[in-house]
Amino acid sequence: MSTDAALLELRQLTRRFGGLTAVDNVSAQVMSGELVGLIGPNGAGKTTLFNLISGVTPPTTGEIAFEGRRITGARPFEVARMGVGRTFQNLRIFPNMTVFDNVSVGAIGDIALGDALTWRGRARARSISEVSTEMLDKVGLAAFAGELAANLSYGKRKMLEIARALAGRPKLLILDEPAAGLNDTETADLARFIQRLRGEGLTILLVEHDMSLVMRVCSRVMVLAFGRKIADASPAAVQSDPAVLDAYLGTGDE
Amino acid sequence: MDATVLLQQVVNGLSIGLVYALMAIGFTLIFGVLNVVNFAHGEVYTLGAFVGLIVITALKPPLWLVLVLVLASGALAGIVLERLAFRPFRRFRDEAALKSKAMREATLLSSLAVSIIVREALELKFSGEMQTIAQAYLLQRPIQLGPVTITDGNLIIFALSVAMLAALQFVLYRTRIGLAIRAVSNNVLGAQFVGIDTTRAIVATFVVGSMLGAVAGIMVGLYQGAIFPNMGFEPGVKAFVAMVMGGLSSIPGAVVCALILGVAESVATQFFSDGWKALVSYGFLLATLWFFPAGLFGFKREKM
Amino acid sequence: MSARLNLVLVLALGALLAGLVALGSSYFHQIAITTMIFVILSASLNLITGSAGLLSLGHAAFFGVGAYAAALLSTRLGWPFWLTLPAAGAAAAAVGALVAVPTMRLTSIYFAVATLGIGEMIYVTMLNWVGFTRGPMGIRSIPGLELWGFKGIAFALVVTAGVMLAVLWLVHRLVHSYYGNAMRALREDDACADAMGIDVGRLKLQAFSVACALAGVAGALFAHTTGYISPESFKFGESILVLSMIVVGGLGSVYGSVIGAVILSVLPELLRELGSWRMIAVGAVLFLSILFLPRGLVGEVSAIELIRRQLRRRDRGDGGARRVAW
Repeated sequence: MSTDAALLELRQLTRRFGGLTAVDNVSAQVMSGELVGLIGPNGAGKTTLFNLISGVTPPTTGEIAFEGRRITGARPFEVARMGVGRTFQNLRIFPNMTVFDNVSVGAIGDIALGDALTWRGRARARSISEVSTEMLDKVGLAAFAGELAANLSYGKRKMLEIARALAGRPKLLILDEPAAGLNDTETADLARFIQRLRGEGLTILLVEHDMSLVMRVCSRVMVLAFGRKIADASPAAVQSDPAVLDAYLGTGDE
Repeated sequence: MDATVLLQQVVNGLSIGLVYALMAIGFTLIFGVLNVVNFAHGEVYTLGAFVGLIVITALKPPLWLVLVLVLASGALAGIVLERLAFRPFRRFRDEAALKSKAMREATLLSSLAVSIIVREALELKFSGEMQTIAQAYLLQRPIQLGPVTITDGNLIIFALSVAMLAALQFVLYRTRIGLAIRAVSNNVLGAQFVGIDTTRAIVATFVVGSMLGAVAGIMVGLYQGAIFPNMGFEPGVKAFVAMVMGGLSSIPGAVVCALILGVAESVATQFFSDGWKALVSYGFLLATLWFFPAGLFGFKREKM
Repeated sequence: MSARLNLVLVLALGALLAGLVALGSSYFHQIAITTMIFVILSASLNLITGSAGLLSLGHAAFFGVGAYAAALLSTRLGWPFWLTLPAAGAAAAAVGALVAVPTMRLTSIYFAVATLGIGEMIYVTMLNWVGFTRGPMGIRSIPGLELWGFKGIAFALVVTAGVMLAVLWLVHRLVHSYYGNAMRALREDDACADAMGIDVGRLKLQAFSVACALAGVAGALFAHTTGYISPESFKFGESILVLSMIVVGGLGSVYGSVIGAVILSVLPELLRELGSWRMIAVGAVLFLSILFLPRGLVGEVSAIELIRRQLRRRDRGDGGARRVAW
């Protein structure tokens, strides 16, 4: 596992909010083609870590590199344009736009004012339309293309978000608690879908609270607790790691 | 520049600042409780002044009675305003929707619409000119205090403002409805869960805020001798500026900033002609929005 | 809305104007011109407020900047209208950009109030910088629209209509393109749009500048067609009037801008005798619209659209028509 191949690298990331250290000296790597899980009990710092990676908050200290390039402190849209796609835990679709238009937003990126008015813009528009249709097909929502996103059911909205993230043809896809609110059957479907994506060569980071999904699909799992990384190994190893069990369940004594 | 002149301006500024403070408190209370900007607040101020005017012209009662009637009219205006422009939009039960952008914009526009209607109706009735006020009521009798001349208006404004602030403190911290208001400001759903009648608390907030605004209106009207339909617009904006500067949910912050604003404006008239005076407040507003998104006192910050 | 329908409407407009020129009195001419100018204002505000979701309460100020630019350039430097119009647009865009840069990170309500403050500051400047703008006296004797011997009311109608159509085309293109999708994403959830790769700050700046430029062009037309301008025409009330037009007509919709502008321009004229009730009527209309028709008459998801959807439920076949082609 040479460092050169690391798609995403976190080096000693720390984020402090006043007196609270939300992320504490976390170092990690995600190699190209991996399907990595990030788990931890509530308040462990998963969300903050996620925000650090996606550029929403800058780290207090530490570095983040994507494809070998330093992205520490980059703004969210810059990180996105470099090839990082994401979904949201609390489902942020654009309710008053159609499903198709929702997906297309993932592909718009650096569209210019002139693109709406010139011939060259037409070509750009065509490619956006193509990738949007492709992603809609991939998640199985093609039939709903003209439907208002607000009218979609919960499960379909989740797939819409994934389609939108995929429309940017990301190199790394970060899924934020995709299994939240899904029943067992739906979770199984989701697991299959994620594995299919991985099979197509996409690198995926799965931030999740639900153990079953993570254990099922991930080749490697990182565990956060109190802002620190306490484990980084295969699902089986993590499942039997006493430190992990302690963090999730707590032991009776101090 | 002459020190006495400066001092005089400061005193005048403090007076007008206190008036802005009364209005700013009304804004802050409503904002704290509903997270919305009440665009019609300036009109409550104007209504207070006009009610006072009508009462004075028709009945010629003693000043304290005028104030009582103005307070009553303010309370009534608050109730009507809440029911008309704000309640219809509280169709939702959950916090996210209550504080959603769409709700805030809708109520901003609806209160704006109401303010336009009220203002234009007054303009129609009173033809937009300054109204004459019986001499006896004008709070413009000068009193010499050392190097500075103040009017009885200054004293009355000061006394009244302090009295109202004290009354507000009492209501907020010593009565049950005040507790309800504070609870709702803090956490709407939580307040509902513990059985507080949030609607009543919201109405009470509007009542209190509007009473303060109405009194501010009549006081300024008598102090400056000018009552006209558009008089609420500028003080309204300035009160809003004070609220923003003070950190949005802080009453003491709003009061202090209102005073600062009043004094700055007053002092500025030494350097600029009257017409440009308005730029001072707008300048403060923009400077605050740009440089101090957390308000000068950085209290409980709302995402700006 | 198909291209054929648009063509039909344009031709109908042409016929209407021709009829006006031939038969109408100058009173009707002036109303027509004023309405068309408001259509431009309305469409431009809808771009920033309806599509991009940034509530602007100071749009009349940029209208004024354009008007004053055109008035001053034509009266002091003798520029012809085909130079003053673009210059006015550029001036208004420049002021708009100046305003937009520092206010970009403010969210809805605070942005709205900032625009209010800026609108007032511009108004105060117009009123008090007497050396430059002649203050409350205004600027008179502004030359009308004239080119190669064509002048008069007929020519003014044609030019105004032409500019209006060009503006409507531009706005239509922007709204119905993927650029429009980016703006709408901004409106729906700007933090999310940011995470999707959209440079939110730059988009806001661009949309705002374009909207202000168009308002400036409208201002120039206003200056040339009325011959006299004063700060009175560019007060807060006018900003609210334009805002009401798009609220009534439909946020985010080009047709909505037109409908709203026509309704709120023509209606007060019809109620001329009740002249002073104009603003009250505007306030009432605004209030009722917010309450009952939050998306306006033909806004993006309006009452009319919702009814149509119910009726169309059956033939879902291809997933319904996509709104974006380009």
